[in-house]
Amino acid sequence: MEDRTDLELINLVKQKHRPALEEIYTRYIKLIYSFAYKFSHGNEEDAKEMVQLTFLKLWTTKSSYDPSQGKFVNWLLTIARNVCIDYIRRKKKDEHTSHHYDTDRTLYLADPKDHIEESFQQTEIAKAKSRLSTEQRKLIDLLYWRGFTLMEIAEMENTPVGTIKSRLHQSLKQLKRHLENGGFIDGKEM
Amino acid sequence: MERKCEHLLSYMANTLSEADKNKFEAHMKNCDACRKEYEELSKPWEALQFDFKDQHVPESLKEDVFNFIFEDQEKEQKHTIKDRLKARGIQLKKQFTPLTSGLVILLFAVAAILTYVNIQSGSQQQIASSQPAKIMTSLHLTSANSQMHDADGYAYVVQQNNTKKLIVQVNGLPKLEGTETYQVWLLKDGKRLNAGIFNTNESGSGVLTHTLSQEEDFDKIGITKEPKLDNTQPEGKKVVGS
Repeated sequence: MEDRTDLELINLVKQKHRPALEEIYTRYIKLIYSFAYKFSHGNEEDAKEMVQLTFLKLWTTKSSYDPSQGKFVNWLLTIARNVCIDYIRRKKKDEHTSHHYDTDRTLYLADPKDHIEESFQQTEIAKAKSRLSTEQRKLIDLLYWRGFTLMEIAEMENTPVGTIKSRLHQSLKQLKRHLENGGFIDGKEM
Repeated sequence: MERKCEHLLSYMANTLSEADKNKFEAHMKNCDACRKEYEELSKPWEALQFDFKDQHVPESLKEDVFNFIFEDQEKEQKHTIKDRLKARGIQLKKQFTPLTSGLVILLFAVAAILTYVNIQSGSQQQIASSQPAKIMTSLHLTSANSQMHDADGYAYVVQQNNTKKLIVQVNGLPKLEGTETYQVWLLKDGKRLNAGIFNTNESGSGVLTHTLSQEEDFDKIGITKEPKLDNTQPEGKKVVGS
């Protein structure tokens, strides 16, 4: 299994080949777990559940990885993100229905800058992101890591949804420029 | 910018419904502006995937993940059966126009009312059927035959609503051969009354239930091994009794 490419592995997984899934686990668990951990806000149990659901998704998904569409790792993390977002939305909904919902929305508006400054090993993306304004970083985090819809963000920010949208477009484009200047664009080297 | 182009960011963030997602994908095929914007935004978007710190993976996680998937597979299969049934239901629903389904519902309603009326007038007993059963008498049965001293059992008279039942449960009886059968007798004022026959399983246990009339009563109970069925008086040896 170790000498198989990612594409070969994922095609074997589609044919329900368990050792291939185990090899993908070995190769990418650190990445997927760390990724889910960020969605969980440090809640290890939630992160573990998200990882379980991500691997279940890989085992059952009908969509397949197409190398012409990008790197395997991007495809993998796109799947992981969809699972994580579903998970946190469902959890938010459950908390809401069981009346444990924290109505204080400012909870979600914490300045993400502190997180970045805490990190000693800043990744390229963290460096590029730190060059954005606080407001820009906040919008990106709400959309990418918190799974809020544009409508929800507009409501929280008390700003028209069109404005939020164009700010996000601009922020992402600026982020792209910072990444290019920093010589980083195609993803972290594994 | 067309109205549909506005969904690009929601599409990337995967916050669109499945239907809207499909619509947007169809739109993007024919919209150069969206394709170009998508290409530009997807680079920083994908770079965001790596905006996290490395974490230490818990040792037990691999086992959790694989147990979860392969146990979940079984559940998944059950789901599929459920889904199939649901699909059948929907298919069935499609067979009916609002008028025919209305008529069918009406027919069911009429049938239900008639059945209900029938039950109501039929017997009062059924209404009270929720009363719990009560044990009126319980008797320990012991071996009446030196060759089968392991044999024993219990007999209960149970009352529920207006029904009185005798329940006999015995263990350790020898295996029957040919036409042989075990028969239960009720002794009242020196007379023996047939209370039914039963057979035993491999380990020599057997159960019999027999409905008694309200006034019916007995002094003793005996079980015999009969050489043939339908005896009105015991012919064979008594095996256990109270």
